[in-house]
Amino acid sequence: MTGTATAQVDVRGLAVSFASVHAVDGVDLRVGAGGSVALVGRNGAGKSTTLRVLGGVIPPSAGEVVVAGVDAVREPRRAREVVGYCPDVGGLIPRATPWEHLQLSAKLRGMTGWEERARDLLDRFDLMGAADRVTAGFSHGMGRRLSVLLAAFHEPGVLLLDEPFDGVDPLGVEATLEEIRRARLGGAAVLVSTHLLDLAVQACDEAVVLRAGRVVAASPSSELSGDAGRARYRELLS
Amino acid sequence: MSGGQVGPLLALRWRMIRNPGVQIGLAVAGILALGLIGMSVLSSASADLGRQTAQDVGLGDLTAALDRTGEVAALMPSLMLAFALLCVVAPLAAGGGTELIPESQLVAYPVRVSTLVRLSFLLAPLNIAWYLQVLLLAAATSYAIRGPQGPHLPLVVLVAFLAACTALGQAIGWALVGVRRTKRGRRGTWALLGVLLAIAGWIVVTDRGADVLDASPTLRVLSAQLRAADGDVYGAAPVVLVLLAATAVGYVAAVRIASWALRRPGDLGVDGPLSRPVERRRLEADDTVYQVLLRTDRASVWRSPPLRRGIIVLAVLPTAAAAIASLPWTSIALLPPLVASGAALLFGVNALCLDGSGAVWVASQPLDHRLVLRSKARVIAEACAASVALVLVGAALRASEIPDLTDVVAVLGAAVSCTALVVATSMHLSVTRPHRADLRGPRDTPAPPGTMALYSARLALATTTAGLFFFAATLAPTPMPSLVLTAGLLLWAAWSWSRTRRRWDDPAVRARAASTVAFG
Repeated sequence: MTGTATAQVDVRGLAVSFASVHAVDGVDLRVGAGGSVALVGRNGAGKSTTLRVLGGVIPPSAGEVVVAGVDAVREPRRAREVVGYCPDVGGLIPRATPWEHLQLSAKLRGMTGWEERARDLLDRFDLMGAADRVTAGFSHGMGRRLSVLLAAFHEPGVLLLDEPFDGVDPLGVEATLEEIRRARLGGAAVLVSTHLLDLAVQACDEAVVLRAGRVVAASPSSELSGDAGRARYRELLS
Repeated sequence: MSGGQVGPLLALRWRMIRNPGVQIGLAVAGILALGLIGMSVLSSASADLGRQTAQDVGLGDLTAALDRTGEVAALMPSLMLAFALLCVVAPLAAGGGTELIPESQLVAYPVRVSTLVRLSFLLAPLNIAWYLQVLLLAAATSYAIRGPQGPHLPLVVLVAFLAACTALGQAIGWALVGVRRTKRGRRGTWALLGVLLAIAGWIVVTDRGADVLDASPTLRVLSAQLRAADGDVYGAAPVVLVLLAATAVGYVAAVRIASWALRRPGDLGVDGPLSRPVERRRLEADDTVYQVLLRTDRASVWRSPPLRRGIIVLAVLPTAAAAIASLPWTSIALLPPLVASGAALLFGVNALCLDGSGAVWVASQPLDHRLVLRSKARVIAEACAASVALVLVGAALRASEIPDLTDVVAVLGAAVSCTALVVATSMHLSVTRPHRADLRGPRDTPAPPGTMALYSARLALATTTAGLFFFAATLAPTPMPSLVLTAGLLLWAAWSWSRTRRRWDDPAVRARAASTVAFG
């Protein structure tokens, strides 16, 4: 477990099944306050499904999920208050603007004086000029940046980022890495799912490798860096 | 040859229907639809009542109600004119033509424009209004314009007319879509619409509806049908040849014009409306979560090009038609169910798609999940109620008689109860059968074309049945039957809505709906 001894994310025996398909099959995961874990693995390994359960989007078939001290299975609505979730695809209402997304998020959480933080985030993610344009006209990278921004907006105790670097330009990647760093400094637990191993190593202290819905390895992310780390990662995937 | 592309695309679309039950339903519906036309032709052709030959119904005597066949034959030019109008309006309302597979999903493939136009032709019968009018025209021809050898030859003339209208309608539809892709073009089409509405208003005010119908070119088609019914093949041939030539010209023109229209910068480009900022509205402290959700959903409707266009078409055309037709109140009672169904088909049958890929983000937010459903239901109700109210105002202003209390109660009852019924049915379909649909492109629909055809048939069946009951209720001596009918339908809608809400309480149902709407 990375971060402090107090687990902000505590997942035990998580299982998710869709009909006869076991998307996640007995995953255990612990992330402490200020810690960060990268979920890596091939397509269909169960990374996004795990994050969707933590984000309160889909209910688990079995297992215990506690986020920031809230049982996400029994109290999903309360869990969503303490979690910030960036979905892997889209995640934006197509005909709403970034500012309208922020307004809705602020209203749902009863935030006051949120405008200054919203402007700061829009500025850092280079979206200020597009704040009042509908997201249907956004490029893929702009959409990804806005999704990360929305997840981090309310300074959640648990930040879940699913493929946050996918199709994002270098400046956007830097802004995302900076936001992860800030969230961790603020005591949040960060989970990042990505296929980009180098960025996973850069963003997180620990890496968890998933294969066919199960954890096959968990180690400091630095062990997956360099040629030796990449070779080991390929072995774990095959 | 684009014919080589049509088959594989149809096969792909068929395979994309993952549920075998839906495939069977579509196949059965297709067979039933064809069978219904066949049955209506056969039964109409063999009906004894009022049978007469074409000699009895001379062209100059069309308005004389000699007997039932004469009345029906006299209506044929108007029915054909209505069909021709529909053939122009339908592709226009659909943004050019009906798409088998959204354009955005085909960008990686070298699909030719001629393929898209052919597919649009093939999909034309999936429009319930197109189908019902064809059914009506086929039955009317078989009944009223049959000669000693039966209705075969008049039906050949009719088929040529249907093909010509469909082809020319596609060409006109694509032309207007192409013109509308520039700011000047949009202004021009608005001006054209204004002129057409002004002409319609002038016709209404000066009571020249009958003169216009008497000058309709569809009288020549009827004349050809009558000659064909008499066995005068050579007499009917010129009109048939002209119609076939119009079909060919319409098809070629549709391909050429569609090719031009699709090459023009669309309304999704960097200079289009999506790149323009919208006015920022301040979030007030006393705004509730429901109000913010509702505002977002309303904006999702008005900022969608196909929805905006559909709502405008639905607001203008039935209202104008109802005003021109000068209907009796018994017939006005039939309008609310039909118009409410049309409004629901714009987006209501898959209302969760308003959130698009953001459905997953919304699902991850800390809110009462029932508010999401309530907000969507409210937006559908607003669209239905506004459309129904407009058409009723148009019809009432030009009604052919003064209504009594029974008429008023029946019409209002039909408006309220059918709107509630349509909203409840739409929300049930939205929750139980969600589809991924961006409603971003000009020809996007809330569900695939086959599913839309099934939905429209389902809504049309339920609401037309209700409408017929209200029609009958206007004939009753007291308003009581209308009140009872209204109460019954409202109870049914409330029960359906309550059942849908209970389903929505299930996190697995919500997860499936959000994932399907967002990811497909």
